[in-house]
Amino acid sequence: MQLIKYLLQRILSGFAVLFAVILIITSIIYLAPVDPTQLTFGQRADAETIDQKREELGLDQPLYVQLGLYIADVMPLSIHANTKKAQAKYSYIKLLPLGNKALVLKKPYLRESYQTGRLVTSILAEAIPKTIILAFCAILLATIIGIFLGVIAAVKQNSWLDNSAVVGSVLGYSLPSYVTAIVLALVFGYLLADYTGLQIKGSIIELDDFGDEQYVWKNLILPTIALGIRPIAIITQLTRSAMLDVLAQDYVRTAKAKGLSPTKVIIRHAFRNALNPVVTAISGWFAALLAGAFFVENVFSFKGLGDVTVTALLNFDIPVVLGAVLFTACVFVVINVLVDLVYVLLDPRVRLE
Amino acid sequence: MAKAVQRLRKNKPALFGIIVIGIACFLAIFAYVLVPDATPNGNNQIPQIALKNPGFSCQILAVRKNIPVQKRNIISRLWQGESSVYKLLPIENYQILGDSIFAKEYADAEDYSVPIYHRLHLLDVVYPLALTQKNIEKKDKDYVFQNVDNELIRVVESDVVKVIEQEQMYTQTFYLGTDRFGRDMLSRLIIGVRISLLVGLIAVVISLTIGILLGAIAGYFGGRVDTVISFLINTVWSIPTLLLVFAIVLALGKSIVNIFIAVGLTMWVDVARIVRGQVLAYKEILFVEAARSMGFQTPRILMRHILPNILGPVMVIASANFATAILIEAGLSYLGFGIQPPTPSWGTMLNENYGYAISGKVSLALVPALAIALLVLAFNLLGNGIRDALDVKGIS
Repeated sequence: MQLIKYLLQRILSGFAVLFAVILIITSIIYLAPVDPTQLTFGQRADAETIDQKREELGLDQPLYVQLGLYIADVMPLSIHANTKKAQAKYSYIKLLPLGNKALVLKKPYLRESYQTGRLVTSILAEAIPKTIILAFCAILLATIIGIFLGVIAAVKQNSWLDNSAVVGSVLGYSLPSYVTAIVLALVFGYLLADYTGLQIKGSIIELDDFGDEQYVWKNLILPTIALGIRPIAIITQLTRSAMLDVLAQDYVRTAKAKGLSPTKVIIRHAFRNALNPVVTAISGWFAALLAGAFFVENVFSFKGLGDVTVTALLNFDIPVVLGAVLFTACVFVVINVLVDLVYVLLDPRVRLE
Repeated sequence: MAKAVQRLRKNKPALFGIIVIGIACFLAIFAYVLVPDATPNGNNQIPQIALKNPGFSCQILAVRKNIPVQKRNIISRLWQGESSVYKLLPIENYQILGDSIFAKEYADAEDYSVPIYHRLHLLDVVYPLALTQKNIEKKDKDYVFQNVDNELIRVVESDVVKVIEQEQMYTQTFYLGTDRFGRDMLSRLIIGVRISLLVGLIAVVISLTIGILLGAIAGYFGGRVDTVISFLINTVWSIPTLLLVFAIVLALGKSIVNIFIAVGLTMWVDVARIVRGQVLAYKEILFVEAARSMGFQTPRILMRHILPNILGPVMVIASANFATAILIEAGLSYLGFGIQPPTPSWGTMLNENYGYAISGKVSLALVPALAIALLVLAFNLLGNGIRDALDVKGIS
C-alpha cells in the first residue's frame, strides 16, 4: 500500500516536472528570431501564401498565445475546435462537447517539420529505435566492463591493476565523446579500414543499391565504443569506491571468518550492497544516451534522435527540435521514477517517504 | 588549508593538471606574442600552401603591401594581434635581374599545372609605394620614389637587395601544418586556447553565483522557498544540458557572449544541489546556532560562518564545471553551433578540418581533438586533487 502511494506521488511530481520542462523549453525556443514561412517556402512564395501559412501556424498571434496553442497541441487531454477538420488533424476522441469546442483525448500532436513538411511524430518514430539500440548497446558494454574493472580494482586495491584502473578512468572520463568518436572513426573506419572492414560513417539501417532498407549491424560497433568510454570510466570509479566501502565493513569480515570462499564473499555479500550508486550512474547515463548522443551520432551520421535534433537545430526546424526535447524530457522523468523504484526493491532499508 | 595545499602538491596527477593549466593560461595571455602568425585570429591565409602536413616548411617571400604602417599600442597588439603589412608569398626559387625579382611560386610536387612566376619590382617588395606613382626614377645606383605617405625617398639599390635577401626572405616551418585556407594550425591552436579558458571561467563564475545564491537560500530557509527552488533545480536537471544550451543559443543568437551565458546558465544546477545539501547539514551544527543566538544577521551567518566551511565541495564542483564548460563549448562549435569562424576555437577547428581528415590530413582533426581532451583532463585531475586534498566526500 505504502509502495503504491509512494509510486503515485513520484509519478505526480514527475508530471509536474515534465510540464515545467515543456513550459521552459518552449518559451525559450519561441523567443528565437526565426521566420518559419521562409523555411517552408524558401524565398519564392507570394505574400498571400505566406500570410495564409503564418495564420495557420498562429504566427500572427502574440507569443504567449502561440505557446498556449503549442501546449494545447501537445497535451493528450485538451480542448480543440469541434470540427471535422480539427478531428482529421488531431484524430482525437471527443469526450465532452463544449459549444464549438470540445474536450478531447488524443495522441500528442507535434506538428509538422518546417523543412520537409513531414509529421514530427513520424520523423521521431524513425529515429528513436536506432538511438535506443545504440544507447542500450553502449550502456551494456559500459556496465559489463565498468563493473568488472571496478570490482577487480577494489579487490586488488593498490596493486598495479588498481592504479591503472584509476588513472584509466580519469583519462576515459576526460575524453569528450566527439573526440573519441572522431579518433575511432579516423583510425578504425579510415586508416585501418582495410583490416577492420568498418565504415567511417553510416547508420544501422542503410539503403542498398536498389533503395531497399538493410540492416548494417557492423555500423553499430564504433559508435557503441565511442559512447561507452565515458560511462565505463565512471562506472569503474563508482564500483571501485563503493566496493572499497563495503569491503571494509564488519559483516564482510564475518563472512570471511566463517570460511566462505573469497569469490563468494565478493559476489554474494559485498557486491550486492555496493550496487546502489552504480545503478544510479547507469540509469542516469542511459537516460542521457537515450536523449540522443548528439556528437557521436553526428560524427557517424547515425540518423538517430541526436542526429535528427542537431540537423533540425542547424536548420531552425523548431517543431522537430521541440518534439525531440519533449521526448527526451519524458525519458528523463520516467527513468528517474523507475530508478527510485529499483532502489526500493534493491535495498529494503530505503524508506518510502 | 596549508596542509591541504601540501597534500595537493604531493599529488602527482593533480600537479600535472596544474602545470597544463598554467601553460594554457600563459599561452592564452601571450598568444599573439608567441605565435608565428600574429594576425588577428591567426587568420593569415596563404592559399598556395593549403592542407600541408605537420612539419611542412617552405621559403617565404614577404612582400610589403602598399598600405601605411598601422600604429597600435602594445596592449591592443597583445590582446588582438595585428594585421600584417606583408603579403606572404611561398616560393620555390627566385632570381634578381635588374630592378626586378623573379620568383617561382611554390607548387605541390604532384601539381602538374603550369608553374606560376611572379615579377616584382624590388622597391615594391620592400616599401609601400604610392599608388599614384607611374614609374620609379633611377639616378646612378639609387632609386627615388614616393611612398604611401607621399614622401620622396632615395635609397641605394644594393641596400634594397640586402634587405630582401636577409629580412624578407626566410624559411618558415609549419609545425602543425596548415588548414584548407593555408593558415598556420599552430597559431590557431594557441590562440584557440583563449576561448576554451574564457568559456570555462565565465561559465564557472555564472554558475557559482546563481548556484551558491539559490542553493544557500533553499538550504538555509527551507520551507516553501526550498520547495520552489528544489522544484526549479529538479526541472532544469531533467533537461539534458546540451539541449538546454542549444535552446538558449537558438533564442539568443550565436555570438560568443551568448554561448558563454548559455553554458553558465545550465551548470548552476550542480552547484545549487551541492550547496543546498551542505547548508542544510551545517545549519544545525552548534557554531551556526551560536552565531544565530548572538543575533547575527542571516547574510552574515551565511557568508562568514557557513560558506567558508563548504568551500571544499564548491571548489571541486567548480573545477569539474570548468572541464564540462570547455567540453560543451568545443562540442557546440564542432557542430557549427558555437563560436563562428574566423575566431579560432578548438571545436570550430575540429568542425572545419574533420572533412579533410578523410583526404589523408588526419592530423588536422586529431590535433585540436587531443588539445581539448588534454585541457579537460587537466581540470578533472585538478578537481580530483582538490577533492582528495580536502577530503571531500560524496562528490564525483
